[in-house]
Amino acid sequence: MFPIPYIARHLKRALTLRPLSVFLTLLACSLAGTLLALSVYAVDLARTASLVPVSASSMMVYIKGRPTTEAIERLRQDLASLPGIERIIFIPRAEGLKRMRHWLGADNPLVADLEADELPDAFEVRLDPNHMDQAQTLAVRIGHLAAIEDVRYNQGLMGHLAGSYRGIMTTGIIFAAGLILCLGLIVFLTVRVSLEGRRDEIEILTLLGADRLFLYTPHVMEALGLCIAGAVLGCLLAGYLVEALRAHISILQGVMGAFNLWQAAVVIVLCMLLSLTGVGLALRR
Amino acid sequence: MIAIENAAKVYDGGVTALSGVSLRIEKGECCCIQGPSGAGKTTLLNLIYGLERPTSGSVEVAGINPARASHATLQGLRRHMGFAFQDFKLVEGWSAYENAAVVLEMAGKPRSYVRSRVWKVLEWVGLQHRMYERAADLSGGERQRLALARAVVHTPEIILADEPVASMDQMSAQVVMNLIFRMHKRGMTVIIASHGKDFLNEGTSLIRLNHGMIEDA
Repeated sequence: MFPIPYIARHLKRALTLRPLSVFLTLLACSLAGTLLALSVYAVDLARTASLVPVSASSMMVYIKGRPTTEAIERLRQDLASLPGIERIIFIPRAEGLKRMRHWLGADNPLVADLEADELPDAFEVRLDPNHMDQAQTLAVRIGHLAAIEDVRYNQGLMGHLAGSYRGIMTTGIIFAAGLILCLGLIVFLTVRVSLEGRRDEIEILTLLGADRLFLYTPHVMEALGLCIAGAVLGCLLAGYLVEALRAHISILQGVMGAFNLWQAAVVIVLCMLLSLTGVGLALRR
Repeated sequence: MIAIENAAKVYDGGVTALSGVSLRIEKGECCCIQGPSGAGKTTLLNLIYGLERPTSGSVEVAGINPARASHATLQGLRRHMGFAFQDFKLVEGWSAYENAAVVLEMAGKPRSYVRSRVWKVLEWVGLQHRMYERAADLSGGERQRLALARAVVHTPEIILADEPVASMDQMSAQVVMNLIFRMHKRGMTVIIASHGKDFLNEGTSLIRLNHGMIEDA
């Protein structure tokens, strides 16, 4: 049975004797909780994006050098032999320049003095609607053909996120590990300060026969309380930030979901585990 | 209940506090240990409570040797004893109530019981009006009474009192000794160590200690 009045008195004493320390610890926990929540959100968003098929319907395939008509025809056949391609349209460089002037405006300095010979010939490859989720694989295969200079297609934001999933996940894990270490240190130091403040008290209670559970439960509760409060505040702040981004940047609305309860649960559980680790380390010393 | 066989205690500096002390205190006994300062009274109580280990000989309390017991066993044994320390060992920043209540909280007693029991015991020692004062703000005599209240509040099987009336006036001392003897009449085993001779004749046995040896029992 937990000595609840004794723990409550300890917590009250901690709040009244060192309010600034408790406030700063809570603030640090909240900031770390916010960053942890955003890391979890970013990784989860990238993971979700990686599960969504890429929405490209066509891609531009740029040809190396100045190919002959025969070479262009051979290349067209090579492309046609690949799965998932519905239609291949050859776009000579003059046509390419015309399209660029149409998109950018004829007066645009980027294209105003541009000569058609400075551009490559290209194929516009239209994808079969049933194979659109394989655009990335197809682009890689086309890119490996000897006569091909470059392959470009519009992945959209989700596509970019999906392509960067591993990078985002690795960065997120490193960032989260750093935050967890910082939060663990905060808990460790808070408990050490609290233990130092109770040195005489612990000595006397030990003389009276107190066991370790009785002596140290208040510290575990204090650290858990601070970490959980920090994690909850952090999740609320992260949720607010995500909503603010969605509200002010319209392009993100279709891509970013709200910060959800599962993500909050992951953050809170992580904070609880590391607070227990921090307390454990502080009490072992 | 308490058996001490040929116990000796020599401190690091070579000072002999106890030498060949053998003693047997039965359950329900009230043993008074009397002797001048430096006679070894506190050391003897510390050996019984497991605060110190004998250099030679053995000490057994309720079948447990405190010097050889594990930390958990020793702490369990201590929870069945009450020790009114000579230097009180009160948590200075805590109120009188908190100092007395903590022993019951350690034992997992319900809050209502803790409240009523602490109130009653503080009333016995005349401290109920100072219940919410910090221990640091109490006078020497009050602190001594509070230390005794903490030692008896959980109705332990054994009460050890080291100079329980040393810093009290005659009237307060009478109140405190009456309380101790009342505990004894309730069946508790009581060991009182004192340099003075007052009140000690009311115990069931009297041991005179001098230079670490039993002079007269």
